[in-house]
Amino acid sequence: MTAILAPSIDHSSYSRSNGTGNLMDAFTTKKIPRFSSTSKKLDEIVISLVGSYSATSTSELENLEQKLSAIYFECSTVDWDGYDALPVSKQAFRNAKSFIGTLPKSYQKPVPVPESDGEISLEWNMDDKVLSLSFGDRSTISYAMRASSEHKMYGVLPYDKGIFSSSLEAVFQHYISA
Amino acid sequence: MIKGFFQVALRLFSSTIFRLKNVPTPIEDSEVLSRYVFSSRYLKKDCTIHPAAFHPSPKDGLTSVFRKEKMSPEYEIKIIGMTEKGRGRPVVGKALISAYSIRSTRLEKHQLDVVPEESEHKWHADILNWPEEKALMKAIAQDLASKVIKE
Repeated sequence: MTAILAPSIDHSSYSRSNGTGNLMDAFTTKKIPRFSSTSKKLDEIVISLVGSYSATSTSELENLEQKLSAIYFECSTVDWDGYDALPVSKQAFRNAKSFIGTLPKSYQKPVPVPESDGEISLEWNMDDKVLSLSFGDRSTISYAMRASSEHKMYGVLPYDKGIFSSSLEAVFQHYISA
Repeated sequence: MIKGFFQVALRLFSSTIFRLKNVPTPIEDSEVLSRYVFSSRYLKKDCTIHPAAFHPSPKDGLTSVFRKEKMSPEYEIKIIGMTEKGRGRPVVGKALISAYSIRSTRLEKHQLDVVPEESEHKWHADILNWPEEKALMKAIAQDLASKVIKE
């Protein structure tokens, strides 16, 4: 693992206003003809195969998006974890995917993990420290960070698509410096 | 001396009553519990588990575990087979954690507990008192994951 979270942060790289579009957006805006049948699943398969068409994607980012897509398809049915988990929602998938597009390039890429309530979390691990952000249907992020038994943080942050907010930056700084 | 005698007698009496009434014996702090994992998505590359593996079921708000030390190896194999059949998927991992680690996990007013629940399987138990607030639940699950016993 070579990439680590940046010790200093370049604020100019936080707000990325574009580059996270996907084929589903294109379908809904009629840029690409849509199959007429009940092709919801087909749409999903196409997205899974093609993923984001962002020109700025790195291979690492694409790899992460593929993992997210795989989780979405694998966990989009009830009881995917054997303990009556709720299906991972499309909006949770979209929100998580949108978020990773806003991550500063120098940041370590997270591991996506499905959660039993149908949300998707993005998890960072560094030594014994863990930071996890959960994305669901709402425009908020539930986060929890544990650096030690004495040093923990958790809460809810607003999430604006396409923006890596200063409050998120603060959480990451705590994670780095803890 | 007399106090010790009464303590031993009381313990023997209670365990006999529990046995006679077929009531599950309470879980002692020193007991080790197994959390079976059915989704590989909860497993990390280093074969440890993600904290999300401890999140409670949205159906009943409980985390299902088994009392490892109470089960004979044969019974554990049988239980794994039964749960795999019931859930329609194989067990892909197992996390071990002590009852003390669970009970000592406290954040704000939430203190987890683990109690026997043997309506379906003997030596089954539930972790309860999970908060509804997601962020707090995540923080507690991170605590639990940090206390998993490394074999």
